[in-house]
Amino acid sequence: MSPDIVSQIIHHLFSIQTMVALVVGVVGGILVGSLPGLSATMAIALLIPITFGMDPVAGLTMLTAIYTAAMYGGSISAILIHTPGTPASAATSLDGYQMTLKGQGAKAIGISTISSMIGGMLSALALLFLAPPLSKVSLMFSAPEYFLIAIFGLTIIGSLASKSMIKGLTAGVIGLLIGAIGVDILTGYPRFTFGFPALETGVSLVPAMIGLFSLSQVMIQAENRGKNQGKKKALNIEGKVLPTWAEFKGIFATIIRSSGIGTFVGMLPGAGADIGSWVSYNEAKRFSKHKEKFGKGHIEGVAAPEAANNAVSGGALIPLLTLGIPGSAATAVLLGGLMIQGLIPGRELFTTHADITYSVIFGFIIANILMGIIGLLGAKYFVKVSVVSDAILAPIIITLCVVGSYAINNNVFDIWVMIIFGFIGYFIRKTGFHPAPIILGMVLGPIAERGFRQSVLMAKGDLLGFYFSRPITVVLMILVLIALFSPMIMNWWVKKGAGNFEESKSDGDVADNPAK
Amino acid sequence: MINRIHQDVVIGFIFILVSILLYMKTFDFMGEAAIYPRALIVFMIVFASLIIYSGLKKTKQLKEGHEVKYEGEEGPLTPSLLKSPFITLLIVGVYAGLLSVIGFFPATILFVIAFLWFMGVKKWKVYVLTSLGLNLFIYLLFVVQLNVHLPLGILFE
Repeated sequence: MSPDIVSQIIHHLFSIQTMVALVVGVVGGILVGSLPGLSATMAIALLIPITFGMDPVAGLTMLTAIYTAAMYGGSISAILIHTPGTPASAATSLDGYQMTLKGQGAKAIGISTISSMIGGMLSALALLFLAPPLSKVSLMFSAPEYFLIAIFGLTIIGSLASKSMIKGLTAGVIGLLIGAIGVDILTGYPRFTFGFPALETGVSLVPAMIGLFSLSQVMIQAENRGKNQGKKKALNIEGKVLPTWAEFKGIFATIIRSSGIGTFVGMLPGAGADIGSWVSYNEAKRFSKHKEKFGKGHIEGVAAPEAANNAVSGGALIPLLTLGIPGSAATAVLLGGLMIQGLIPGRELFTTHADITYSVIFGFIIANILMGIIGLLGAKYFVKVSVVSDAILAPIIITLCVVGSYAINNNVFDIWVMIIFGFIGYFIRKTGFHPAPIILGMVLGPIAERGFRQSVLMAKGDLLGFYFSRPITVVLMILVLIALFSPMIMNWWVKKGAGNFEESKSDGDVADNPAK
Repeated sequence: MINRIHQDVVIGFIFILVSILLYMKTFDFMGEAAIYPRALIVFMIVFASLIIYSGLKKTKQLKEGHEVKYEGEEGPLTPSLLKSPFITLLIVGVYAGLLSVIGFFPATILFVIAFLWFMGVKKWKVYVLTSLGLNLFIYLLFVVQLNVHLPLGILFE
């Protein structure tokens, strides 16, 4: 990094707009994360339209801040009301809620906050040091590599929907087909536009994402309308938030190990924060001197999953920024946010747009620190939000869906796109599909098609020979095969941890739906 | 009886039907532009057939009196379950239609009131605070801060 860039980064980061975006992103992320049912992915999708009008650094910093803060926010409701705010916090609820029952709720929040902050920061540093050299790989890319990178991104579909590989792949193909709507880039012929001029440039990504993730979520929550859900009640937080020095020393090794695991899992395509937190919980238990205390309110059992799920956020940004491979649903939506700002992942992010990229990475580090400070000071207030009823949240979310879809292009047509995708999202989610592969298909489909058709021209007839003559394409083809089989290994790794959750279920009342 | 057939079978057939309609649409496309969508549609039909196959296996299980497990968000779709989500969608549709006619803010106030009533909220304070607070928030953020021209409606333009 040259001194020139450093001064530009300082200039970008310490502008009022970026600072406000950071605070709003962190507070908003914690709030959304602590609401059971609302995930980080949904928060990002819903807030992308706001960042559209901002300067790229402020907008992207806000999105990454939301991402990491929502991850942490999920732990507040997991610890205090035994309902994980996001699936990534399911492991935290095991020991976190037990601590609350023992009157140590405040300490559990404190440990979760500190672990999340350290996990997030370490992964942000990994991003800072690993991403620039890795991005050099993308310099060697040409049409065939872009085609295979897109295919590689699509194979994580299988792992995103590991419950049924076929349904995952089907959702991916649906996304690819939707991505094919619009004028064909090589022949100029409009495909599947059904006479709507608005569809000639393709289906707008942001309204589609908002519909698939946010409107469908409201529809799912509407199923419980009128049912007496038994009012969720937050226990009062008692005691000191900060752990003692001796306690901190006791969990330090766990935090560092879990941060490492989280960052690594985050980098793997298809493995998200939920997997990272379960794996870390297991490993913490395996390494611990007090195995018997796990599940009964042990501080290591809170520190491990929380450090890991925030570390995943930084790890997942590495393949996203360098190669354009989103490793999870949340990063697939973030990729949409990047593209809207006109930034294409790859080497250019670290050369031509270095000032923006490095500013966002440093902004991400600051977001993690800010999250720690705001979390330690405000946990008491955030938990009050997590018990707000769905009846009030639903119209607020819908209005934000509508205004956000409109604001992207100032176009009422996009509101209808959002509603149609809400309908599709609801049905596919209720029938065992995942909406993330659809988004991935929409984003990666055009890249894959262009790469393939250009490589056919480059191959001059011998397509297979052409592909096997390029070392990187061979490596990529092997990676695609590995990605296809990795879900099975991941499932096995998680199942080891899920056993712990099952055991604890018999110990008392349990989160409604940890697999949300 | 319809509920004796696992829903995967129905979904698979819907996918195949849509695929066939889309494939027919590709006949109008110019040469090369059609290849990629056609390839995708073929994949779609293969996957949908596999979904039907697994759905038939699950149907057999159901007929033999075994329970079929649903995981995560998946669940059997019944008319009583679908009622509320569908009314939700209908209200959102009316809201979207209304905002181009009477303008964004009046439509939003009507929508929030209608939706809170639909969700069974009784306290009048919630109605006032939610509809006014939300409109104020959107006005400050989108109109003042982000300069978005929200629809005024054909009546006021």
